[in-house]
Amino acid sequence: MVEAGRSPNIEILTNTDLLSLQGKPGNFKADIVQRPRYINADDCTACGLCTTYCPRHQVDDYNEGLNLTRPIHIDYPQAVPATYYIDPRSCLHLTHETCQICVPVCQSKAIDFSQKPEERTLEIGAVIMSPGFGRISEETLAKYSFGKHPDVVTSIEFERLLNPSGPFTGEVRCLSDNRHPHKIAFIQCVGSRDIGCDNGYCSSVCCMYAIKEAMVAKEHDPEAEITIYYMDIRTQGKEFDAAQKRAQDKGIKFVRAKVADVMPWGDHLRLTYSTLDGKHSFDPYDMVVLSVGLESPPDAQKLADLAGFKLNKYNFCDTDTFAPLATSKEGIYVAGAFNGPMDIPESVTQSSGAAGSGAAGIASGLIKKQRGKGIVHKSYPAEKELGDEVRIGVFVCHCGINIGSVVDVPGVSDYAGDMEGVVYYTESLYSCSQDAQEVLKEKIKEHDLNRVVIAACSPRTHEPLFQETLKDAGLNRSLFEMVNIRDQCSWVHANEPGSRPHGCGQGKAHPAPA
Amino acid sequence: MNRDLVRMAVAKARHIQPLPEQTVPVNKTGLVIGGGIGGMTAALNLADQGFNCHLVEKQEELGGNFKKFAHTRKLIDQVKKNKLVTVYTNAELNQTNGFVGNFSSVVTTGKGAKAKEITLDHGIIIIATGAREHRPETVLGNPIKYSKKIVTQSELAEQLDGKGKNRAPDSIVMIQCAGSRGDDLNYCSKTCCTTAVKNALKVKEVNPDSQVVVLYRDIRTYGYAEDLYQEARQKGVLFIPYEMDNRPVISEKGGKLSVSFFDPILQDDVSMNPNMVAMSVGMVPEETDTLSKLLKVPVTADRFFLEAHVKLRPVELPVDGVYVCGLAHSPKPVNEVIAQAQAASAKAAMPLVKGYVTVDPIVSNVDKDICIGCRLCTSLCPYQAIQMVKDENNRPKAETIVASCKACGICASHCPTFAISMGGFTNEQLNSQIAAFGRKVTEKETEAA
Repeated sequence: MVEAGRSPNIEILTNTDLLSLQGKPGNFKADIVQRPRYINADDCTACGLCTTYCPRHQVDDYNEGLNLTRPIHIDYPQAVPATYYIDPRSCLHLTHETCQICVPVCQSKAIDFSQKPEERTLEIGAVIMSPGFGRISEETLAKYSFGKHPDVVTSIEFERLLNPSGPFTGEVRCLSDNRHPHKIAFIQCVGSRDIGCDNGYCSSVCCMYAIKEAMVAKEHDPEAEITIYYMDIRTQGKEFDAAQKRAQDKGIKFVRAKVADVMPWGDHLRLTYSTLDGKHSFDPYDMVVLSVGLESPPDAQKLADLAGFKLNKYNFCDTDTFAPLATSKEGIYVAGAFNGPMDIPESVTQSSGAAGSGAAGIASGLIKKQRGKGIVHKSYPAEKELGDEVRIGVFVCHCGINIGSVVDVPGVSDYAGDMEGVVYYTESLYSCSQDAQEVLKEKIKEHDLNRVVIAACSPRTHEPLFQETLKDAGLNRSLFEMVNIRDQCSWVHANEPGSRPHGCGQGKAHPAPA
Repeated sequence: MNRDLVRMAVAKARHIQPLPEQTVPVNKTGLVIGGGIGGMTAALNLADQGFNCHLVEKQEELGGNFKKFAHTRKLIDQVKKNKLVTVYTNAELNQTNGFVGNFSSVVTTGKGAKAKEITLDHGIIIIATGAREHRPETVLGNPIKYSKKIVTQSELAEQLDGKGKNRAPDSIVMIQCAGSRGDDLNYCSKTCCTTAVKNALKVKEVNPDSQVVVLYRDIRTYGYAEDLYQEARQKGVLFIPYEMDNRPVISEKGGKLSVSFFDPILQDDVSMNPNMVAMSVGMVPEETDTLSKLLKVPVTADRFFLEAHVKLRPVELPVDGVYVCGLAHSPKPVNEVIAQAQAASAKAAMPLVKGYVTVDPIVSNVDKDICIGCRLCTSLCPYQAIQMVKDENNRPKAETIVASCKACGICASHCPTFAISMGGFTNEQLNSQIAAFGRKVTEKETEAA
């Protein structure tokens, strides 16, 4: 995302709806409307001060409604664009014309309530549809007491519970009474392979994500008893069977059964299931996770009508086996889950294919003819001369709780500050986020840094990103050193008792990390 | 621990110096290895974007595993007509030198007396070498002799597509995961369940009274293929799961087949004498070992090519300028092969479009004043990245070919006069790192005292 955000050739239009699409391959016109975010993206520094002053609470949609946020907020630190947003459904000024506390609070005067929806017409050569997937209806989930008991959660909610930026900062807790669940059940094929809710298809990804979530939960609490109830385990992807084997070796139980129902039972949940031998059994659980499938996106029909391509009987985009990335309308392509449920590698593959050669191949040289028109080449400031003085800046990253839960990050950062040549040191929650890149650039300029050390995750994935920022700040990218305190420290020592200053562990009540 | 790491990094950072950025021009030609559906799709995509492309196929003709598909025949036709694609059949890659943008490969083409070696220059490589059907000699502990009665699913499909009168037997047992998922191969081949269900439906279509039993571990008809699975059950195909600790027994005596297995619904052993047994065998990659050594790209334990990043860079290999698609990457159905081929060619087109690549600045660097011209480094360099040049006094000196250097450091570690240093990893930098690590010991000793 950050890479896309940096590219001078990608204009990101969030909060935007497609109104109409006309034309032919190589020459489309799209009318769009961009809804106001009431914050000037160029001015907002994503400092977060506004959120702390905003007096109104609202449900945090990004965290699946499991905790609260304010109408003025950003979904998560690495969001792109790294700009806050005011939710018009709950903002006191936008609903009742009162308040406006945030306006004087904002130091960079980025808040602008006068913004109006803006209509624009884009001239484009080809279109890629990638609206993703939708949600399984609550009606289907209600069969498993979802909505009746707070400890029946969807796998997406459970993912948020496991996440360090989630509602319990990475601790898995029952929503009913905040206890750490000891017995957890996963029910597979909820909303998939189910003609009861008209979803006859298999969602392809749920077996694998259930295994992943179960493994992470088990990492959080090795004592947790986790059972996955399934019809068939579909780990058909590359190396996926090996993942299931690892899960079994870790003690995660797989039971081939059909779950009949889930009923509240004292402070527990009672799960009734039938196995192949015709027996019915029931087991108590603290928490039940519904492995929800991928539904077609809610605006699928609208998009199809606007653009004039066909949907299949499940309301996903209709494609041909031999032209898997082309919609039924020439010049319009499809990538990702809208092209049928699929996992991340497959989606990334499809998007590359759709963006490049998919278009070229099918539209017979469309790209060849128009290649290079309107492209912006990124330029960097001239590299600054290095003086004799060594001026090192050290940046230590928490990586949420990935590093922060094991390593004493503030301690490390202070420790670095005492070293010869270090003129600036700091810590950050996510050094890779877009706003952290801005901070890095500023600090290089402010303190005239000529060497940068970042202690964070793996240079394999993140070195190019930081080096790009160095180049933006007029430093040669080789004046950079990266320390991998995640793979080479926090991950290695993650399970050592006493090494965690605060907790992602279940079982003990830990104070929340700062 | 983390403090040691940070202290060492800071110690090194004090000595780091800017390294020059270098760019190298790109030869705007592609090399695609493998002329199946994936390779042909990739080659045509490159050609459609205006790039010349060499397509190297091992067999006598293009088409790969699916020569019979109408779509394959269409692709072969397009490839042959396309002026930008040059096809080499009966051809194999022998040698590749160079780096992204500037590869040079030696390909042998033709057979016997007609065989000749040609050298091709190209900027990128797409690997689409595919896979072939696995034919395990033992399935679930049963020795198997393939015959007209014991066939693989692809053989059954061929028979069903034919015109024979009794092409759909009156009773047939299909064995899923025959040789897969830990039986012989360690992995799932992804397509066998859907193929089996399709064949079962075809048997029922030709011979509605046929008894079809599918013995399986997990039916993996993912995505919309689930509809076929449901249809097959509605049409009376029986699906019965088996466990690895209670595997079906398959035997043949006097031309009579017998399959016995445990039925978990009846909770009893069942024995059948079907007319035919169809093995749902997996697939194995085609000779990835040779290519992996030639191009210095890694393979997984299952011998499929290992991509640079499973999620974020699924069609790129760790060596710059080398891409992968199709079954050489992992087993998958044809629509996924085509999407992946389109992705690989899209990624491969990026350096071709740009016309240049930026070389990583971390390369070896020879101090010609100290070099004694011993040639030890040139003989050791695994990438042929060091050449000998004459200095103004006509003395031989080593020189790095920057674009070929992979920064492995072998030259620097062997230079008897320390004339070679690695950009970003000089002796001074590394020594200061080591010294910084040692400093903790001294601190601890001081504390103890």
